Amino acid sequence: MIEIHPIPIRTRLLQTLLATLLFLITTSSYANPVVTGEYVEEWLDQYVTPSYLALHQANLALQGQAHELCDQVSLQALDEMQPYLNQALEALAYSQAIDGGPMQSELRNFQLYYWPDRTNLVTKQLGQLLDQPDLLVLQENGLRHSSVALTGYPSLERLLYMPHYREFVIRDQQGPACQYIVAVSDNLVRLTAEITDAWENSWRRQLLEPGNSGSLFKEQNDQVRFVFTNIDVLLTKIISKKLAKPLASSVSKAKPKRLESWRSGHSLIMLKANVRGLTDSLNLTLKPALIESGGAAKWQQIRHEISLIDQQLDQLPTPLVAHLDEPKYWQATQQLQVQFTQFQALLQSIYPSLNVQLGFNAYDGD
Amino acid sequence: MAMEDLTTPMSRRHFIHKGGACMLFALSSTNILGKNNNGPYWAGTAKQGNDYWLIIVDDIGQVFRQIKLPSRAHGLQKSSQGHLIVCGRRPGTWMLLLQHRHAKPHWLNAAANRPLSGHCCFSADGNHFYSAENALEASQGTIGVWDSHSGERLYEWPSQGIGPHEIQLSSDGIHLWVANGGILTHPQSGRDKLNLDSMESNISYLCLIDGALINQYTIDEPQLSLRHIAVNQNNQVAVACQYQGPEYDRKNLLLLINDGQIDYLPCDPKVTVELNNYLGSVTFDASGQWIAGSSPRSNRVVIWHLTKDMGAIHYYTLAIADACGLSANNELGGFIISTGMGHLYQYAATTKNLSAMDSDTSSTKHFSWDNHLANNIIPPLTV
Repeated sequence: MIEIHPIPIRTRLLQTLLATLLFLITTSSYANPVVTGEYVEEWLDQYVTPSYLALHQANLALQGQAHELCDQVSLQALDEMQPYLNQALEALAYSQAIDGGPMQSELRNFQLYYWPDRTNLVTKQLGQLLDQPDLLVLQENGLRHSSVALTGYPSLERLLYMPHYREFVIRDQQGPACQYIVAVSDNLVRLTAEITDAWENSWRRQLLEPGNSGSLFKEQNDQVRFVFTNIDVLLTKIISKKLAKPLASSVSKAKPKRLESWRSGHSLIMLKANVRGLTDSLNLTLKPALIESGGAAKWQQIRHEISLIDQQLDQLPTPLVAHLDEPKYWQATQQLQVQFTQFQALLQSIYPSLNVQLGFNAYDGD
Repeated sequence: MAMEDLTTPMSRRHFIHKGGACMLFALSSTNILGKNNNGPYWAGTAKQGNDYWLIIVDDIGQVFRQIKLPSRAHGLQKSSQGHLIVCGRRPGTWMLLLQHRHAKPHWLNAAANRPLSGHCCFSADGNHFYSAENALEASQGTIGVWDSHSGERLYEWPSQGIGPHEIQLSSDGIHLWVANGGILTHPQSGRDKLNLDSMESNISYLCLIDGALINQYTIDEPQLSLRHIAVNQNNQVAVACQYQGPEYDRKNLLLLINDGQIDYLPCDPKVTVELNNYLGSVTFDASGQWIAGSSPRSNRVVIWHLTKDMGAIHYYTLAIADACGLSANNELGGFIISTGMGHLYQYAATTKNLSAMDSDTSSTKHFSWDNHLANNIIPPLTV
């Protein structure tokens, strides 16, 4: 309990003045996030929509190539299809700074790209499918009800890049293997079409109009939190899944085949695309908010950290899977992990000054 | 252990927030304290900056007491006599016991090699409280039995499983429901889950006279951790789960123990997918006919209704950012919901009306309400 003593009138007046000043300070700095709806709209127009459109276009191109493949199955045709898969994987990685919303609805993120695959489920299920083809799976929209291990890029990556799968496809010619590649490419197109439709017809409005009835976002705080939580989730995924698992605790325990997309040698390309997605998102949201609130120096610090990450990525050899268990490159990759961790910590230290709150219970519960 | 007890300073902050100079003089009176001396109150723990607090609020969300905690807390509960117990979390080394809402804090240490593993609860008469603990040497759970007045740990019983988490008194007051989450952890391994491939979760029903196991409930889903429970007047138990299996594999997360049977409650499959295999808290409303389960990882609060005609139905799903803490208010189908964004909401299931409480801990103060709220002592419901 606080004991209250009589207060002289001059002291009261002084307290009143101080209180009024404090009120003005607190209400101006503790109101809404400094990141405004206008920045969120820019983020939607210049990052979210283009990134999903690019992913959809890449899937359409992949689909076109897949349909041509079955006309004349050959190793060369499989080789020619590889760049289309690579382009789609890179587009997916670029879009991963926004993994929430329609991407997570109906587990589309897993349907597109089931990774990490701790129990090697894709290999097991793909083996079963090719041994005893289930034609229902290959019919139109059949993959809609299939295991996520069979519906996306990971199985295509095996079929296009792994020698024994490639040989199987050639032997099989126009059999189920080729039909399966077509079915997966059709499914990928369906999924990204659903994602772009959902953003255009529902999520965009909900995000830009927080508080409207039916909106998942009740206030501007929720709207801004959505943007930065997505950024933070990707950083956590890079640190804890894309890097920590392959690195393990020492070079002798390194597990290169825990790298993302190692079969296509795309691990580094995916990471670089992730960084581009993060950079573009931050450029559109955090940068203007920091500059407007007098935090230009902080933005320079962020830029510096990003450039260090870019430099570190450039120093790593491709494909990383072939070099991660070499001490020099293991240490360089570990340094990259440290840089991402520091970068995440820097952003998290800046958010409170902009009145941005990430989730609390969502991050750490029992 | 001496911690800062900031009884009423939030009232000052509230004054500043409101900005009315005349409020300065209101502070000179005891009215602000006085209005909170009676009537319902809620308690929860929260983070502000790098500090953790026990926060006690009145029925309109105004803070009338806050006590600084040594570290993050987890479960907290009120007794029917007005005691309040708060459990420390990772490390679960301390508890805070208040004899009543204005009492001096009484800090208690967990027993050696018995780190707290989640929640505590009081006996019906409030003379004892029980703590969920891990017996490190045996990798098994224990229930510590404590004297609520002296704070002395009297003895312990096996929890009848691994990783006991939430414990609740039965409606008859002579049994204890124990949610053995099945996950083995050790202070030296931090948050690592050490037995995911062999975990077994159960709900155990213990006799409060001697700790004997009366009944035990399991489900055929080994990686579904039965972690949080709520008990209603009919001794029905709502069980909120967290699934430890593959992320893409989405499980039904709410079960009900009724008449000696445990079974899943229905849930819209789309909502099941959205919940991200994680419910963080569960509670009944004052009537015991409505259940709320929160999923902060999907920003959802799911409401079930136990109807007489149609059985249990999935009634509604609310979208609330980072919602986790749940408590009943004294309305039919009424709940208090707290969020990591600093908000307190009241929800009336009968009208589906969600309204923000005029909270002194709103996001503008950068308070983040933690996982749980302590239930208010609920007066008999008039329907």
